[in-house]
Amino acid sequence: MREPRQIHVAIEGARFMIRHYLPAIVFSIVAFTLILQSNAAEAERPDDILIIANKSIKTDSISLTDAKRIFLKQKTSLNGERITPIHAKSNSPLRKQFGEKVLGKSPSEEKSYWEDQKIKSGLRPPAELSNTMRAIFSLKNGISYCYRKDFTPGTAKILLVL
Amino acid sequence: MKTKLSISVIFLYILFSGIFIPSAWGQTIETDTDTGESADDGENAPTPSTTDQTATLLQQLNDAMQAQQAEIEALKSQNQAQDEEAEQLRAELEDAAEEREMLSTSLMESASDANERKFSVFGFMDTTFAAALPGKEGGSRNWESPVFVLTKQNPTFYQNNINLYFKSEMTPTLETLIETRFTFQPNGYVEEYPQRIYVSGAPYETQNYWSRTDTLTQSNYSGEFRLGGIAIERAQFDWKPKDWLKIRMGRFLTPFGIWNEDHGSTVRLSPSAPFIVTHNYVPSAQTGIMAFGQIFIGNHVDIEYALTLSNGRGPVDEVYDLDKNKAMGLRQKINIYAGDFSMSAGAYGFMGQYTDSQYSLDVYLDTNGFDDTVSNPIQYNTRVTAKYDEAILAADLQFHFFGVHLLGEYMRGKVDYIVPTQLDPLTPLFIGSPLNDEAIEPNTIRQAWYAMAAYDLPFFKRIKVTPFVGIDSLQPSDVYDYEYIKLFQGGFNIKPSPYVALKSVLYAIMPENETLLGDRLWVWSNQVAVSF
Repeated sequence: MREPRQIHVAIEGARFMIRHYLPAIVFSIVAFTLILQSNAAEAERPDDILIIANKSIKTDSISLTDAKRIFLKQKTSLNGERITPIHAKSNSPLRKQFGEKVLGKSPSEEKSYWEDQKIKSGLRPPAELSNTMRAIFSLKNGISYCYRKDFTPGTAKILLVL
Repeated sequence: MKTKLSISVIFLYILFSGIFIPSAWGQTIETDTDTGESADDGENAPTPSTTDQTATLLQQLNDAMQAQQAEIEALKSQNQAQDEEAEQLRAELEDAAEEREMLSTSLMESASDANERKFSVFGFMDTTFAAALPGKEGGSRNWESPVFVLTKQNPTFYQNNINLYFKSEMTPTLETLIETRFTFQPNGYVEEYPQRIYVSGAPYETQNYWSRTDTLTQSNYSGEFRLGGIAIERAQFDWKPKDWLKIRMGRFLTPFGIWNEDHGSTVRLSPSAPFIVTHNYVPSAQTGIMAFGQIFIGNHVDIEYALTLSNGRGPVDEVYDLDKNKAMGLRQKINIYAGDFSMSAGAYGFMGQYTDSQYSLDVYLDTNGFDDTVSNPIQYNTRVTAKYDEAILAADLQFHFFGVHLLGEYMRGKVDYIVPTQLDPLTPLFIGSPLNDEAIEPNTIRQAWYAMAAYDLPFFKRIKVTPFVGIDSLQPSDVYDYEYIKLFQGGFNIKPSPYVALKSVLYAIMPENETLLGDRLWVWSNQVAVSF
């Protein structure tokens, strides 16, 4: 006999909470989100790695998984557009960081991967260039990466910030 | 220059001031040599008007000097600023030159590496040392085991794969790949060997004879040498317009399982391929056309497919299909991955017809020329010597997580004879039946599977050390179980560099049932495989 009364009390309690605290909760969430966004904007660092593309590419963004697929040559197009991945030189710090962040492979693991792919299916790694920023500026459908400090606004499209 | 000029002007000004003002001479030159005191005091002291004039002049001189000093300081600062500006300009020029050089380099690299036609030659090879040790029978090793018909009796070095690839990427969507395999064979190939039959200790019959290929030849200039051979593993032309649609034509590896396409000895874990591959129960390669592709679903899944249409299996299927039937196959595979975990599961179904035939040209004549009673006096006639339908299902499964690799494959094939071949007369003996020269191959079901587990040891940073174990099973026929074999293996695969694989493995080959054919056999195999 006492259970319905307990349920009634619980419902009333919930109503009270919603009536009095809901605006405060919503406000807190919005404020927290805005703070996070402002922090994110402030967190731009010169050594951020940008995945960049030639301006001829229509796509404006890319997921980390797609970036991995593209640079492992599993995927050759983005939204129907054929793309050409360009790597930084294999002994550069940029390439090492990109390999670890995007491909999930150390330099030696990446070398092993390409050796295996070469023997399995004749697949070769993407071309390597010393200055990826300039390569992407000049190469139609090219996709590559560079440090934020090396990026010149207006010369290429930023698809993803790592 | 300006500084020097200013100093000169000041010096002249001081000089002329002294010459044309005599009182200044007295003031500066006349001193009491005895006391060392100035003679200004007393009677020789200048008049106040002259003193004021001198003081004024000195003050003017002092002011002029201070002005000049300030001007000098300003000029010095200006010079320093100009030097800094020049240095900055020089640095900017150097940067500009470097940028221009990098730009031209990158443009050249872009043109040569990314866009232009690319041709490459690469490959792999391996050298193996293997030693066999037969199981014990009655306390001693059975070196007369019939298993040595199939494997080497003596410790041997050999080179099984010397593969060379030629690849050309003509455009981003068109490419060709040719893989050749250089081999020392056919030299040393034992085509036939005598099978002597004794009945009650007395020689009864000898079948076949000793026939081993010898390719020894001689050059007029360099003496004797042995000829080798070149096998074409695959020669394919690919058109890849989309990720989900690619077309391959030519001789291609059959897209089944894991090991058949992994293919190279630097890629494989173990020195030897599993029975599924070595026994060709699924044709390892086909000549025809294949449509294939990959569809990506979200961030963690992709699906691969392949449709094959080919000559199928045959004694000369690379060059000629001896029947009108075309073999068809369908491959499907799903890959799932998230972080350090990945798994894939695939299957391949194949249906085809094997035909072997001979042809003859038959000419019918009579005393007047062609035989008029025959409608076609010159006839091309074919005689089918063997024909069977086959249906195969192959499946594969693999998991990778945190350095652990689990993989396995299974195949089941059904063979239905239409024109059966003659059975080896000795075969019935092994199942307890009498010698039968008339026996024919029965319809049969073949099965094979393997499972392997490997682990990349985490203690090594620069080299990859992977111990592995595995079990391999072969059932060539559901009619004759004497050929059932199980193989256990355990060993190491060490990769000191991405280009080199060192393998050492111990195989235990065990007949599944007690048969006359064989006993347990141990094989220790060591291989160095190199890709280049």
